[in-house]
Amino acid sequence: MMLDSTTCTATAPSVSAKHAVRLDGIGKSFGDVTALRDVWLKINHGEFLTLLGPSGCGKTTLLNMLAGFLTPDTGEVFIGNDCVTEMPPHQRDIGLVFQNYALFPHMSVAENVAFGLKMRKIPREEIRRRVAEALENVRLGAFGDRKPRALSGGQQQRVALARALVIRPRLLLLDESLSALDKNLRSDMQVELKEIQRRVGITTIFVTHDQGEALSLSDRIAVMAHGEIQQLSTPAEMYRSPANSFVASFIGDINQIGGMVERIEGEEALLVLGANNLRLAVPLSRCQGVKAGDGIRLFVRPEHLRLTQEGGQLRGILRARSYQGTHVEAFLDVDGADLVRVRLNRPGLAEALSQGAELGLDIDAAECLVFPQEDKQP
Amino acid sequence: MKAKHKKLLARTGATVLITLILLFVSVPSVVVIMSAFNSTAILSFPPQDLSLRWFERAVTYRDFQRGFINGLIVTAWTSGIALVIGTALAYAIDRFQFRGKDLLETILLSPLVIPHFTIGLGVLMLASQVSMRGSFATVILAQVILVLPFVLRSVYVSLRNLDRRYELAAASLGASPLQVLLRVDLPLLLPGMFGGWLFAAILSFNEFSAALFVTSHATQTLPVAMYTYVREYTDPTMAAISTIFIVTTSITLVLANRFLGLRKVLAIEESK
Amino acid sequence: MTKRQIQFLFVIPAVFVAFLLVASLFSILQFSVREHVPGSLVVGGFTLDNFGRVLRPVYASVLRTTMELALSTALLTLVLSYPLAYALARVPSKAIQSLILIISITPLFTGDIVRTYAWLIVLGNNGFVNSTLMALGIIERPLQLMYTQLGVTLALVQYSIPVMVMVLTTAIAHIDRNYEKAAASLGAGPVRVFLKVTLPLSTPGIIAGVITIFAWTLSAFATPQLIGGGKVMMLSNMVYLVGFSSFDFPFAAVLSLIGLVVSIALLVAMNWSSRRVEKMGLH
Repeated sequence: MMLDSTTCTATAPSVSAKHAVRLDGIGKSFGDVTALRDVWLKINHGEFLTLLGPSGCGKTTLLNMLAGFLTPDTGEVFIGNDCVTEMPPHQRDIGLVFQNYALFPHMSVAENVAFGLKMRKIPREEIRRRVAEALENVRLGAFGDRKPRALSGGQQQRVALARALVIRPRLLLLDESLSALDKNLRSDMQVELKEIQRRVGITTIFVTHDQGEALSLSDRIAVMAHGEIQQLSTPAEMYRSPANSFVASFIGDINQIGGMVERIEGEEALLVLGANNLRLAVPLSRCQGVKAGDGIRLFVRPEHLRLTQEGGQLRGILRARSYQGTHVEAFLDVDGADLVRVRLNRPGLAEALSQGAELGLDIDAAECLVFPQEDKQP
Repeated sequence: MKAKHKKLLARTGATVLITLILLFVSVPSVVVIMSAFNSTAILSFPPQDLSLRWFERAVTYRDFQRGFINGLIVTAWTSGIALVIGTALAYAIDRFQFRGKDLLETILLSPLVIPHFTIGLGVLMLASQVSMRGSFATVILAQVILVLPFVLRSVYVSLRNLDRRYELAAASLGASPLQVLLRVDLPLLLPGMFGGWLFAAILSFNEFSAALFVTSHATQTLPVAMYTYVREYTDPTMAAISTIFIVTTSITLVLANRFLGLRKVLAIEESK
Repeated sequence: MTKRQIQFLFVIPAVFVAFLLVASLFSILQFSVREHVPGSLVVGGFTLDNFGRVLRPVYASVLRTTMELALSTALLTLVLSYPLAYALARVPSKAIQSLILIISITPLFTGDIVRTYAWLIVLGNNGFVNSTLMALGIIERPLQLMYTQLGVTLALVQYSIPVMVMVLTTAIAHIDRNYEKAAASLGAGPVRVFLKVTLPLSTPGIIAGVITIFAWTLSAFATPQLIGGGKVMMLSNMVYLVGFSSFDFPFAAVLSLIGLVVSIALLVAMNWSSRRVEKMGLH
């Protein structure tokens, strides 16, 4: 405790903070359940960072700590230069948008937006001006007198955003904020949210379980599982080079084939895959912590497999086809793997194939990923 | 650290406040229990010598014995009738459309707000017009009217929380409407029905105001006998029998909470 | 059996009870317009004189006392129940919740007589409060708590707390915690979160609770009967006195009708306010 409080006041207030948010070794348990385990994270000024993970991964606990609704058992939370670990939520200057928006039902839209300003004892004239401006900003200038109930989901979402931003917070927290909207509206809101965030230039932390949302909105993504950050990187990096099997299977669609490493030769690992002992050379840069003789799992995305009628590195039986508009997905039964998903960009080809046909698959070895057999699973 | 102190202070303040209110609620019961063990006939605090003589007198006093038996008879009939009628009506209200549904519901829920003495006087007057004054039937009618809303509410809440898809699933598997009712609905409603029945039984056994109006000396229930006693005597026999009431009730509530979840029985919280 | 027959079977017993209830209330109406024949249980012919007697000062004062007690009980009960309900809805520990719940609702189940008797020995001249205060040397002579409005109110409040707690807990438990979190994140401290968000959002429960307890108190009989001891008289006690001491059932019927009318008015008020609340978009 002594040590912690020393750390907590160590930052010199005169130096402008290097990071907008800093988490130093955060840990939290609820009874026997460990919710967070030694989480370290630095978030840059103006950055849009997403905490992504399945339910129970600890992302909501982390958000609650940033907002001040929970106190960590160990570690410190910094916002700018201030150590806020013990600071109650109402002193933190944080904008928060909830999944269900939590717009106060007993207040009008304008009163909702004005709430945070009133709490700050800002003069009435200025409140009126800033509320009008904030509502204008989210294109709801004419809706100030309505009750939140009378608004559509998308409009409520924008009011919630205006309410959070009008207090000019140091940090914007979005808690599954888009999940309550239906699909079409959600993608519109994604664009609008990103646009507003960039315009205001506010550091934003977005919590979601939806990997699609995370990929399209974020500057960086932190994938979480079992109370730990599994990987912290840009969306493109995350998709192409996941750090472990968990991230690989959580982000995007991916196929897994079991096998082992026969030997390492120069810059390549020679693998033996599946029931038919297919041999495949994968660049060592795409392999993580494997050595000769190890059991491994090969991960390959559907778009990195090529379907052929004759030959092919793997042979499989076509079990199902699924039309996706822009492309077709084919599912092949390959010995030694689960159903393998293949992406076909020429729908014509797939239609020509009949179910039960035997087909070949070529693997783009440079895009494969290899992890040890016992690596983390979702 | 300052925030922590403030939090601690607020928490302590809240705990003290809650404790004081709970003391206000429970002190009378504690005082009754204390004085029940007092050996002297005159109430005094703190009690002088401990004794069980008042308990002995309470359980051997003839009017109490008779009141107890009468109370059991009335309670058994009342809670049974209220359970059957209340469950059937709750089901009908939830599932059927029929003329006068709202009116029927309003009439039967009205005893929640109509003063008991009004209902007691009304039933008494009705009974005297058909020469049934003071009969068990009259007493039971008054009690059924009073406790029916509680059964209705308890079963109705269970019904609303019942997932209709279970019924559809059973029907799709070949169960007839009657089988659905008996094999799907009834088992799922049982906790709510039991809660409502228990509620009705306790309220009926303890009900006093209406009972005072409608019972005769032959049919008087225990609370009425106790009222008569308290007007005539001042010794702690009343404290002894009250202690038995309080302890029995508390144990029942603790058990109900343990096995049924009081919050659900009292419909404080909708189960999801 | 056809569906109609099944419905009939489910509904008819309830209709029978409802019929008897209405018949009972109708009997009161019938008695209220009959002449009282002193010294006899048999009533005389049609008259409206009974209604005129209500205006006599003695009955008017009973009515005023009844209303005062009902109002002060409802408000005091609200003040004491809110903290309990808030704790019940918000304390995370199940054990503490159960403890609070069981202690606060026990009075509802021990019955009028047991509870009132308990207050007799708490408030009496040799009772718990006076003995304790005298033993501590705070007072020299016993305080007069019996036969006062204060004494009756205290006992009625204790009786009413369980119902108020149930109503309020339901209302508070239904408030989405995110409203409070949102207010806190916008800069409201715990006190302002409570005053600006939690309290207004629990208004439906507060209105329902106050009206319910008001009606509940109108119905009280044993408590004012024993603790009021004839000095503090509520409507119920007057009905009993008129009915069972002077056997003037017609006039007892008139007084009961007043209770009935007030109750129905309260019911209407409750429905009206809950519709208003719905309009405000609270629930």
